[in-house]
Amino acid sequence: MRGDNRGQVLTIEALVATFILFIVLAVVVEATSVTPLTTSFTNQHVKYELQNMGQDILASLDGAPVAGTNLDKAPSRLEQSVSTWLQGSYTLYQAGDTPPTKGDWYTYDGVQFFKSATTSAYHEAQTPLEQALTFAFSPNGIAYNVEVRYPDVDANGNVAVYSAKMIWNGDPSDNCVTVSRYVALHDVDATDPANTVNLPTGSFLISDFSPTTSLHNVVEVRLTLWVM
Amino acid sequence: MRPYQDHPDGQTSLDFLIGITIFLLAFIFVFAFIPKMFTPFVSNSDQLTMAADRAAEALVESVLIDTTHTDQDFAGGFPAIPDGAARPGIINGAKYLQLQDHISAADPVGHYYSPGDVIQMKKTLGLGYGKSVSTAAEDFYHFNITLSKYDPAHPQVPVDDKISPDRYPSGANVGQSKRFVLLFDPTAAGDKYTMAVLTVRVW
Repeated sequence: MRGDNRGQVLTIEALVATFILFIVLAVVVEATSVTPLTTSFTNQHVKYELQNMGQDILASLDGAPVAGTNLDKAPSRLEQSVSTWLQGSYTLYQAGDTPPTKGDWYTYDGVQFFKSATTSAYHEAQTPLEQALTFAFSPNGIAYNVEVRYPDVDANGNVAVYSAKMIWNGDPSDNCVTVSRYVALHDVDATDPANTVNLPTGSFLISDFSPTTSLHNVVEVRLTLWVM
Repeated sequence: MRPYQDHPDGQTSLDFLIGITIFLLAFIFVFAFIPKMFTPFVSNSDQLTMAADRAAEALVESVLIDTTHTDQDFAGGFPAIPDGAARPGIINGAKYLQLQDHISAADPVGHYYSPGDVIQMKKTLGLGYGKSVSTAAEDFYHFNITLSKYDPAHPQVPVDDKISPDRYPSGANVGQSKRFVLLFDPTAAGDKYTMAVLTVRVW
């Protein structure tokens, strides 16, 4: 046995080396790879909450009539929000402010005002949609974009779908949720001329695709939500 | 029995054994804890979140939904829409008060929740473990309902209206569901629709 005392060490080394190899293989095979696209449960639940809240806002605003109007023929509050934006008929915050332009898009400053992207016009949250978004989302650190998609005729006479921004607070993050709802916009009816929600004759960003009826257009309001 | 100094190699195996054991223990420890460093927030509240979603849906879409339509928005002699027609996302503020009062009728000053009424409410909201005939409190989840209403006088500070028969737990998982609703109050002077967020928490 003299000079032969290394036999034990070789065997133990071999055993340990095999053991380490095996452990590494097991860990590699069993480990969950965490990539940027991996959704943890907490992340997914936040998205469900945002989706529910967004759908609720669009549905409930589309079911409530404009304040103080006849429920029978009244536009919904969601239609009022889209129409106010199209007509640019926001109330000025102070006399002497730059009046808003038709179909312009706005950015929320995080505190109180929606500021126009192209002019220096700004207004507080006025339309029912703006009020709902600032009430439900802004205090909780959730950002939102509102876009409106509408059909129009392009230069060749084909119908295409265009997208316009109503509220734009930046590019959404990777974990955003988009909800949408179709809204019908109407022309001012001769029997209800005091109705300032519906669109009078004139040119707007979203054109009248049915000039002989009181329907103006059918648009898709898309609300994108993400956690800042 | 040669002296110890002549053959010290005999101790190497023991040293090696101790050393390799400590090494392996450290190795296994590191491998066991590295995955946990990447996923620190593990929550087992799948079931609770589903229960909270179900309860919020039951509240917003059937228990509290407004079917009266007798608001004064009807001017000029238009007839009111008959009861039964429900508008999604529009709940009746009076029904929410009734819900609060129903389970606190015994105490007109505060909100006393009688156990029988609380269990009945939990059955209505689907917060049981599948035991609809049970009357034991431990067969049902605990819950808390909060209605955060918009206050025009203080736009940044919503008014919270709670139904809370159970205290919040200190260490357990809590499932939550939030819904946005419009509260309809036909007797309101100005705008009859108020924005509110209904939060249901279950544990």
